Order: sequence, then C-alpha cells, then structure tokens
Amino acid sequence: MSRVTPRAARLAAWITIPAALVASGVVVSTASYSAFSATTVNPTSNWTAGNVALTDDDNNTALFNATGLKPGSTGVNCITVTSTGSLPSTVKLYGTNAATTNALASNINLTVEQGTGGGFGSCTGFTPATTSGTLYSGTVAGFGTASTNFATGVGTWAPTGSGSESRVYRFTYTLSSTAPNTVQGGTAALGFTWEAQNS
Amino acid sequence: MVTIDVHGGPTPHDVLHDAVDWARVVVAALARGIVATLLGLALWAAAPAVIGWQPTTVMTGSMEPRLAPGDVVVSRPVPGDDVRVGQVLLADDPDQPGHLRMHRYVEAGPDRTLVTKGDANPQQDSTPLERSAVHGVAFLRVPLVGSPIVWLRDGDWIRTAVLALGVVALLALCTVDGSLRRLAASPSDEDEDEDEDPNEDGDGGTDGDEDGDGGAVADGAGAGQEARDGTATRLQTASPTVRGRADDSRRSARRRERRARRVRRSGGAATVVAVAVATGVLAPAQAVAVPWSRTTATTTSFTALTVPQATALTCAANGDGSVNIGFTYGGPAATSFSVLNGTTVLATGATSPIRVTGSGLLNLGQVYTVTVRVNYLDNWTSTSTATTRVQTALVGTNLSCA
Repeated sequence: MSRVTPRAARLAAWITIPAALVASGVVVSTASYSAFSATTVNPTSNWTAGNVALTDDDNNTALFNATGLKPGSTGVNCITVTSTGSLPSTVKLYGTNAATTNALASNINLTVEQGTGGGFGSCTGFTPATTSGTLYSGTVAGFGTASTNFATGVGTWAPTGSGSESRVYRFTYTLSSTAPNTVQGGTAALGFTWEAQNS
Repeated sequence: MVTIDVHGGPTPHDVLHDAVDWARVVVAALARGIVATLLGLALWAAAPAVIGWQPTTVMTGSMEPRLAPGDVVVSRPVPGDDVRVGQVLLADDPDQPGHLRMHRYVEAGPDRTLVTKGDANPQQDSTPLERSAVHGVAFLRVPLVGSPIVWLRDGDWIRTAVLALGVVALLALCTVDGSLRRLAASPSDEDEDEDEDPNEDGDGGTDGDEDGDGGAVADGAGAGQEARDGTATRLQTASPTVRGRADDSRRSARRRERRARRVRRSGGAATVVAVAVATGVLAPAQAVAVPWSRTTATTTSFTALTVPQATALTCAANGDGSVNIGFTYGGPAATSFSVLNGTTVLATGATSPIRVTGSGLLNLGQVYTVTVRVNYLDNWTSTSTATTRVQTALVGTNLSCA
C-alpha cells in the first residue's frame, strides 16, 4: 500500500465537495421533477406522517328530517363527532347548502350545544360543556349565513391528536310560535359540516 | 522516539499505519462530501429567496406522496391569473389567517376562484382560493432539509438533539485527515516527511480529538490550539537535525504558513456558518402548514305544515232567516273555522256546520260567495278555494241559499 502523501490527502479532501454540490443539484432537480411534473395524482392513503381524521355517527342519515312543522314544533337530536387524527387540529362547524322557501329558515330557531353523553338518535345523558357549552343560538337562516366555511365556523374543539377524541353536539330546533301565516308549506334545508384542519 | 530506516522495506507496522491513514482520508472525504451535500441542499432551499422566490417548509403530509413533511418547496411567483389546473399552488389559507396553503389546483370554482385539494386529502378544500391570494407555483422541491423545522414545531427535541449531535460528529470527522494534509505545510521534502512520520501517529490522534471538541462551529480558537500542538511536536523532531538561522527561517515560514492555514480554515468555517445561518433565516421564516383537512357532515331538512283547506262547502237554510254552512275538514285540530265573504268574517264556529245570520251583509237582495277559513293555532289560516253562495233578502236580514 502506498503512502498517503499530503497532495493525495488534499486532493481527496476537496474533490468530494464539487461532487457533492453536483449531487445536491441532481437531488433537487429529480425531486422537483417527480413532485411537479405530473398534474394529477391518484389518491393514496399511504401517508407516512401524521394526519387528521374526523367521523360522525349519523350513518349518512339526516340529523333532522322534520315535516309538518307548525308554530311551536320542536325537536332535538345529538350527533357524536370523533377525531382520530394523529396531528393536533381544530374542528369547526359550519353550514352548507342553505336553502329555504317561504322564509321558513328565518322562523326556525336553532341551538347548537357541545358536550358529552348521548349520540345520534338520542340525547339521553347529554351534558353541555361548562365553558362554551352553547355554540350557536339563533335562526337556521342566520347560521347558514354567518358560518359558511372553516374560517367562519363555530366551535372551540381542538383535538390534540394523541388519540381518539369525541364530542357530542346537541341540536335543538323550534319553529317560532309567532311564525307568520306565510311560512305555511315552507321548506328549509341546511347541511352541517365539521371540518378538522391541522393547527 | 522511534526511528525507522528510510531505505528499508515496509514493516508490518508501516502497512497498518498506511491503511489507517488512507481510512482517515476516506472518512474525512466522505464526511466533507456529506456536509457539502447538505449545504448544497440548504443553498437550493434558501438561495432562490434572493430572487424573490418563496421557500416554504412542508409541515404535513396532505400532499403525499409528492411532498412529504420536512421538504422545502420553493415557489415561483406567478400572477393569480396565470395559474393552470394541476399546478401546486402556494397561497394564503382562507381558512386559517396567517397560514399558507400548498395544494393542487384541481378545478375552477365559482367567481373565478380556485378549488384546491391536497393529493392525500380525500376531499377538496372546503374554501376555494381567491386568485389574489396566490403567492406562486411550486417549482423546486428540496427533500428533507426542513425536517428540523418540523421537529422543532412538533416539539420533537430528541430527534433535533440527535441531529445536532450528528452534525457535530460529521464536522469532527471532516478533520480527521487534518494532520495528513498539514504535512505539506512543513517546508521539508519527502525525506523529512518520512522522518517525522512515526511522530505523526500520536500527533494525528490528538488532532482528531481536539477537532471533535472544537465542534460544529469549528471556531478559530480550536484551530489555533491544534496548530500549536502540531508545532510543539514537530519542533522536537526538527530541533536535533537542523540548527541556527535555517531553523529560525523555517520557524517563521511555518508561522506564516500556520497563519495562512488558520485564515483558510476559519474561512471554511465561516462559509459553513454563513450558509447555515442564511438558510435558517430564509427558510423557516416561511415555514407553513400544508393543511390536512377532513370533514364529516350531516343534513337537516324542515318542512312546515300546510294547513289543509275545508272542502265540500254546502249551504242549508235553517228557516229562521239564517243558513248553515257545512264543510269537510280533515287536517289537524283547528282552533276554529270562519265563514268569509272576501275577507269579511260572517261567522265563526268550532265545527261544521256554522250558522250564519245576515247581519254582516249590507246589500239587500244580492248573492254572496262565501268561503270557509280554517284558523290554526294563533296566526296560521287556510281559506278554502271551494265556495258556496248565500243570498240576502230584499227586506230585512234574512239569508237564504242561492
């Protein structure tokens, strides 16, 4: 084996640097190409890092499907929303696809509470949270106008992402006893969406 | 001090010694290569900021598999009008003020907005982007260099500490061949190299340790210390062989050489530090979350009652100047029923039939069309479209059926 001459040592010492700089350029360009060349991508569920996940227990049935409402009619239902994501997130509730005829939505008062106990179909055992127990109190129309997306949504729930967390929301509606005659036969529809975004 | 015959063949000790030397050279070269690669990647991540491109750190996996957490993505500024479907956009997140969203533009939304979606998100983003919110189009992806930012944000101190130690160790490894290179600093030729060689063994070991202590910063003090050390050892060898003015000049030459070397080495360290700081300042300042989002929804629908009308209206004369208006009603229990002429209430009763007297009708000898109104709760009503007719007498208030 030959000796390590200072010249060889210095050559070896510095020759790797240009090579490494070239390598970094290659890494960046290939990574960029693979990331941005295609404009569509097949959905994947093989995420390696954390994610957020949100489900509810309504089995795709409507929270309310109330017909024949007359002044003073009221109803209540609960829904459990569960976060199973692994990232801390914020959950907001907002309305979608608001629609009404005969101004029915303006005459239905809606109260949304958050708490624990109960579930879809039965609010037995529901206990409102001690702080921010009531998220909304107003008309259905008002909710559908005021809270239309994540930014304007209501709610204070911030799952930590460390495990499965649930929260029960109680919805109570009442058709105002002073609803005018013109409301007869009116319809109202409003979707409620819970959205979790990592915070 | 060991002396070895210069002209003799290699001893086993020599061979081992050479092998160790080569290993040191290779390790140091590899370590340098890794450091240079990391710095190169950091430069790719940070330098485009100089020309106004925006580096951002990917914080979540919502764009996996294309973008992973820890990647730094450099976005090229593009006016909001010039974006095309399929591009990955960097934009202000309309959902979370102060956050940035980096998602794929999947379709045009209402009012010229841009609907975006994370590749790994099952749903489109709930709020479309305004065109004015678009910062740019993702252009360069520098893998993994933002990982420490993600770790720090997540409070993952262990990984961060391990990484820091790794970097320190890597920088230390860069210097294990220092003594081999520095032999060149000696003004002597190959002969003296051979003479000094046995000495260098111990010297090299000390060198490596000290550089390790010098740490990531590789500050000037460490370098100086090491240089002095080397000199001291070398002096022992040199003194016996060379004396007088020659020795002095060589010593001053070595001093100059040491100074130059120190400048070179501190220059290298300064470059490392400068690049690291520049990257640290430019990239994390723009750290963003690529939002994960999931939604779950339920629906509600409400339909108000339509109070049914009274039907099958009939008129029956009672023979006492009044008539009975009969009708059929099959709806929910009504509060009351009223017989109307137009909007004028002629009579009100709880059930069918309702007795109507002529007192409310002023014109004599005229036929009136009457309807029945259902009064429901306080203020809901339903007036029949079916009608019947009554007739007032020519004299008095008597009513008869028409």
